[in-house]
Amino acid sequence: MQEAFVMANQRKSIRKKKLGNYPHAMVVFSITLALFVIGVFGLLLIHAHTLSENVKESIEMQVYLDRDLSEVQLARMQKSFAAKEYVAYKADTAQVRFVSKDEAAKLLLNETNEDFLTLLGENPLRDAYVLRIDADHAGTPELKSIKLDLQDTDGVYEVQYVESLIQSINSNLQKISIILLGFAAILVLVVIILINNTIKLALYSQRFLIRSMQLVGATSYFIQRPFLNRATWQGIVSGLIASALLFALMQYAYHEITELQLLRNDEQTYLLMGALVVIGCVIGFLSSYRSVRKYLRMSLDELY
Amino acid sequence: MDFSSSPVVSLRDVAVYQDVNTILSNVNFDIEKGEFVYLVGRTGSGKSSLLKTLYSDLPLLSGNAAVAGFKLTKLPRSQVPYLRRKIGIIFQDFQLLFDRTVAENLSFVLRATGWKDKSKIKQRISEVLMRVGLDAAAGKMPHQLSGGEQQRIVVARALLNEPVILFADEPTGNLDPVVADGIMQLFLEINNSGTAVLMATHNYEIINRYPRRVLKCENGKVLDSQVEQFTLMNGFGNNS
Repeated sequence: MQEAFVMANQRKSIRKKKLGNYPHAMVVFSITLALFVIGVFGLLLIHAHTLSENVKESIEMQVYLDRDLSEVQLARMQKSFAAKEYVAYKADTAQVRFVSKDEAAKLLLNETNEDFLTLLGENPLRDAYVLRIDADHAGTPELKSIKLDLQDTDGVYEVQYVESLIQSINSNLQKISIILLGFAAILVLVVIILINNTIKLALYSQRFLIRSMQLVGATSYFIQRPFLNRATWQGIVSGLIASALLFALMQYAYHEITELQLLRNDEQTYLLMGALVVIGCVIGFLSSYRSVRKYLRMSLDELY
Repeated sequence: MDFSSSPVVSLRDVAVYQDVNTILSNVNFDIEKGEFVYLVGRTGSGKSSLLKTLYSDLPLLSGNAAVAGFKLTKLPRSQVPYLRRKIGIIFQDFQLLFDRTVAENLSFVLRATGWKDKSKIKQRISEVLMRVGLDAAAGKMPHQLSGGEQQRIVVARALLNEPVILFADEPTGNLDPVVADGIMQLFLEINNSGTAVLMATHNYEIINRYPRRVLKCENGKVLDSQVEQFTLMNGFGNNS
């Protein structure tokens, strides 16, 4: 009984002590939330970007060859294709694939289930090289000039790619990325205002304290320093918490949707997390600098 | 500047403004080192505004004034903290930092005024607390103390940097007579050790018991008991 009473008393005194104090938890919570929202959007941007790179890199050019080329000629062609700057690289190997006409016939047979070889008596298909195009060269006009370049090569019969599909992919990707970037800009602005207001409100509760400090002869710098330190630390801590939350969210998403792993880009993700910490710390510092300065310059009448 | 002979506070043709309203005009007086001066007047007569002007909480817009060697006319904002370190201010509403203990309140002032050595800070705090008789209160929060005790803490804080003058704005304002007398004794003691005191008060009983020079704010002027005769209270005859 008595213990409970003592505990209740203690709790009361703790609560009383907190009254009028700087609301640490509220500030950290709000900044964390704001940064987390930015982070989620950043992740979305990163994944969308990787997706578009992947789509672009899966663009293939089919280079059909003249009939009856010798092994040596084929090898030379492969080498010259691999040396082209617009060919995509994956783990240091050029993405140039040779498809012989026999392979092509087999694939066609599997797809159509029609035995055209016996029907025609011979294989009408040609040997071909399939080139993957680097994402940086996947624009519609670039692809056209690549096609012309390949067609000029000796021993090439014809070059083909799905032009209309690529055109629509390209124009859609552009639209989507402009919209996403616009959203991101708005979001960052909203978050900055949100954090600024949170800190302003938190410091509003300290305005008379700041005045008392002035009245006992503390310089502006001396008064400001602890407030700035605190806000900066809160920004950093919030950034770290937001990054941790983001990491957890990502792990969960990768676990639930395994295909998402394909779009994973660790380097950019860690960069994003670092950016969250920096944003939190910079906005925290600037907001509290502005607010404390404002209260430092106010007269008593304005404070009420 | 010769500190030993020049007055601690010196006002010439000073006008005190609150916003755009003139509260007091043509104010002239000096306070010498170690003097004890009462400042009286009705509520709203300009006592507080005059004090605020003296510690540069209100800007001095016309006239010349010097406090503790600082010229108040066009005193830059950055110089105000240094003026306030030379003087001790006792506020009617205490102005204690409510988020920290008494000892932390005092050490804040010391650190803010350039004290670095922790043991010296500790020593100075216990010295001033001893002087106001509250050495046991160091670990308490301001709200855990009574009004009289808080007022003593404020006096202790004002004494930290050994000021040349104390400005006290109704320090006995909301204290019971016994406690008020205790605070008054404290001021007299401080005054005896050489610190000048300018004390705004309503408590005529105290003035009658400890008569000293009196400045009176009335009808936009400041009357000086050294210069002219006046009644302490309004409506009680013409001559005292």
